[in-house]
Amino acid sequence: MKRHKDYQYAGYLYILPWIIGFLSLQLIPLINSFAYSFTNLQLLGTRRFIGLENYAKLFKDPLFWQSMKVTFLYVLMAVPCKVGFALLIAIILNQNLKGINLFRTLYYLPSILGGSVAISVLWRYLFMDNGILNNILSFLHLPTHSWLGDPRLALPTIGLVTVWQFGSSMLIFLAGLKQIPTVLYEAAELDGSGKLRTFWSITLPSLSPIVLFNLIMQMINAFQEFTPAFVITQGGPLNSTYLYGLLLYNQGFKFFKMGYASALSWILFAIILAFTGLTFFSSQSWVHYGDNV
Amino acid sequence: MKKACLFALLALTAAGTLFAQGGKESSSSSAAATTAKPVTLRVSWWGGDSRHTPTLKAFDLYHEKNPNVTVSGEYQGWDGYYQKIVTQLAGGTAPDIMQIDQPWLFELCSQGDVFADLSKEDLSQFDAKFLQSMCSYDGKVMGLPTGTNANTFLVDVELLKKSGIDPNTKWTWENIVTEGKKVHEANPDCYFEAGTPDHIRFWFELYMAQLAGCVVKSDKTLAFNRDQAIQAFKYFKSWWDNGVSAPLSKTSLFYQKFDDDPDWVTGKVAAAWTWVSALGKNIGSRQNMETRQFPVMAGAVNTGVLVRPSQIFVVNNNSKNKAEALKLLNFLFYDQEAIKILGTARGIPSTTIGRELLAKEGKIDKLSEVGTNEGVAQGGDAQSIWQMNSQVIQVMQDVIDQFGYGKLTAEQAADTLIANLNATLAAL
Amino acid sequence: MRKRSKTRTFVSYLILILLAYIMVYPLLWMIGAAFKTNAEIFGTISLLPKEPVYNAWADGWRGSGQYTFGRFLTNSFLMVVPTVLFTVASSVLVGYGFARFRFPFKKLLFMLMLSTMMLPGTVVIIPRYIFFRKLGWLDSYLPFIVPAALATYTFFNYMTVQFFRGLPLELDESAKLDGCGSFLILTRILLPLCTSMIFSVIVFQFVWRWNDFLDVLIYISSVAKYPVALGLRMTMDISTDFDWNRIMAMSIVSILPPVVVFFSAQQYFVQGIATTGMKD
Repeated sequence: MKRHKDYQYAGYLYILPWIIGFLSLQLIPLINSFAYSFTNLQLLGTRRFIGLENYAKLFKDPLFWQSMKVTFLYVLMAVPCKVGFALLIAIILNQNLKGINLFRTLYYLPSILGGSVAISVLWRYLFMDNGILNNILSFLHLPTHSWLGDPRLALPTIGLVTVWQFGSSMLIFLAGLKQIPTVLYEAAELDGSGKLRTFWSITLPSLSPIVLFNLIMQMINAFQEFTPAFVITQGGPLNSTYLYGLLLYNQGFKFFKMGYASALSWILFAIILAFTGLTFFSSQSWVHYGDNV
Repeated sequence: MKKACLFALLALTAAGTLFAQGGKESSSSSAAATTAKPVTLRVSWWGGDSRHTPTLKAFDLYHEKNPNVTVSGEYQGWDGYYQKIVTQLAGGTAPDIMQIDQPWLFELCSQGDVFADLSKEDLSQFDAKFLQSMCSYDGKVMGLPTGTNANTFLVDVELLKKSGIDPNTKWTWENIVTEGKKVHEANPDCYFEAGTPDHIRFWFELYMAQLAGCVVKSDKTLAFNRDQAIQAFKYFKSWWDNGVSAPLSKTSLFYQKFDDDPDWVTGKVAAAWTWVSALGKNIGSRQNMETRQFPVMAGAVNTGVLVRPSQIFVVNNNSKNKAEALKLLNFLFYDQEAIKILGTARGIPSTTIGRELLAKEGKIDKLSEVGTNEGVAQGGDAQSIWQMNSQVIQVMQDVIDQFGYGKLTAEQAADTLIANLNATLAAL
Repeated sequence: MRKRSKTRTFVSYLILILLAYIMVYPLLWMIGAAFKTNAEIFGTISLLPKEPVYNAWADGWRGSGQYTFGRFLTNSFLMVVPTVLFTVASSVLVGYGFARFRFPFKKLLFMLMLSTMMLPGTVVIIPRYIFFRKLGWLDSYLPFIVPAALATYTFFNYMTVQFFRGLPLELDESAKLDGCGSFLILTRILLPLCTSMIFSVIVFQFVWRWNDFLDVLIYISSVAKYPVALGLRMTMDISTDFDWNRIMAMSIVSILPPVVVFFSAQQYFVQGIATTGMKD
């Protein structure tokens, strides 16, 4: 559609709130933190320019590499699981079954409860040695594990907690599913396509902008994940859940190395940017927008 | 229409800004207040209801006696309190008076002149040595201790008896192993010590203090040598080998909260290192709990038993109402009524007058009193600011964790500890 | 539509119910725990209290004496409702702008917008705090409301972009032929098709702001202005004893508003766009 070659400057007017917001609220702290990454800034603003020292130091910090490893593993595990699970449930919940409203609410509950103080107690309970999960497993004569105490299992367990809070992604998928015009399905039915084919040829392509959105957002969030590691394991055991977000927090607010923490942030920024860029690049081949039919 | 819409949004924002600024400045304009001028003092602390309620009541009383002063309490739970204080100090918006934890004092003071120097105040009610070792930085008194807190060794008398251990045992490093293992032997679900990773670290520091004087000396060097470290690691390995405490894979989940562990709550763990200030919470609904003294090695130069303020009240150096803040502190520490209202909300008072008054009123709980007295009697040297540094603590904890998980032998653990401590100390 | 087979329905329900149990278990446990003593909460793993105690709700509501929990609930509404409304307005405008217009530097601006989400918030906390102090916004809800009005909760801008882009361009085209301006196309044609998106924005922002702890912790210092997230944690200390059942009880009270918002919003997820507008 080449008709739109002419610029429509009205667009600026619509995005104006964000432009103002960006310039007035976001830009200054952003620039500050970038500048801080080249200083040895401590807590109270005493700082000296130290060039690239923070960045050089960071690559020699074993904890940096450990948290890199942990974070990448976490992203690889949690993001596909969460997005896939959310999509699956959304499709199930998109049916016209009786009582579906209730189920939808129940499934969204974890996302409302997720950050609750009360829940952090429950996690320990579920996963401790003689906790609920192990009780169920031994009842079923399955082997039990030290879920959060075993360095090999702790990260997947935390990933499970994240997947449990799939509600937001699910909701976005549901909203997306509702937006697919039913005429498309009716056409498919006339063609005699099976359920599975309809899903691949109609549902998924129509939903692809939303899939991309969920994928990108979950990735950005997962790279910065902090809460479960902070609340449940504090990075342990043996730093096996020492997510990058926790490293950042500890360097900044526990050890007061704000300059160093800033450098860490910008490294993470670059990584997320690269991965988002890659995802966007790949999306050209699988995302179908309604506006460039 | 769309323009109108956008403008409305912008106007709203702008109005909000003006509005906010108008409201803000008024309170601080009462800067150098003469006594009659109205003053609002901001005081922040963390705690539970048992601290919030009496503190607010004491402020009400103060307001009654000094109608020009309104004290606004900014109180909250423990979670996030430190981060908030740190952010406020960095942002120049910290309250006039803050309650801080003793280990924070050095770390915060090392960031600059954040707290007012109280050296010139009348401090005769406090123990001078205590003030100097626990509340001072660079030779200046930076805060006042709200109460006296000490390490204590909490034991379940009944469980010990049931396991065939004399509950009145005088504990030594040897019999913790030889006697302590009986608990696990009598019932495989039970253990002698709570054994969370942080507990093992505290015991390790205690052991090192007795063996070598401390871990890190005040001149920033290590007090111990490789052989001593190996000895210590081997000793604690015997805890796990003999079932004195549960393996770390079981306890690591309760890092820094051993009293949330169901095994502790349901009385399957016989003893725990702890602080007197936390006794009430530690014990919860458990029965037959008593305090004991810590084991001390023959020839130990330092018992390693810590005695420190339960918390410290500091005055913000940027406060515009320093004089008024000091007056309020005076009231909280010295006024008879205030002392009675506050009771032991912040531990057993560290002022002579406070202790005497509460003792007379019978407001000091027996167990805390005994625990404190035992702890003070056994009290060792204060830890150096380097040993209390959060990064140094992290290094010790990491090595202990790796050792406890069997990733390092005692020799490797000793080498790693020495190397990592030296590296961290050099960077501080 | 073909008639659904009975077995399929049965299997669907079976999966739904099994999963629902996992999803709801924490809430059930919290409700049970609100009637337990600390010893029972930590000592047993059963769901039901053995010797129920009933004072947690009243005690928890009463709080530490100065303010009741009702005050914190009110505060949360005062903070969250304007934030949500502004977020809806601003994200719809910005999303529409990015989705349906061509203008110079659009791609660059869009990437810039997305990139603001990629920098971890931790290191921006103090610069932002100092910035808000200079504006005099501390200890008010403005650090939450103004960023909403100025569309800096970037997540929602991106979300609306994706939804708008999922709608066929023919809708706009035909409306344009009928003489509609761009704002009318947005309000008359596109928004009615996006109710589920709008309600997603409402639900998410409501839940997230409602539960947010770290930001309110930093920006709000007067107890009188504490929202529930702070009010809930106000008595939780590491060294002094507190009753967990009160925390549980008030946690349940505090999730009611988000649950109600969700439950009442969800009917809009049921309405699809059906056969609307498509003439192809």
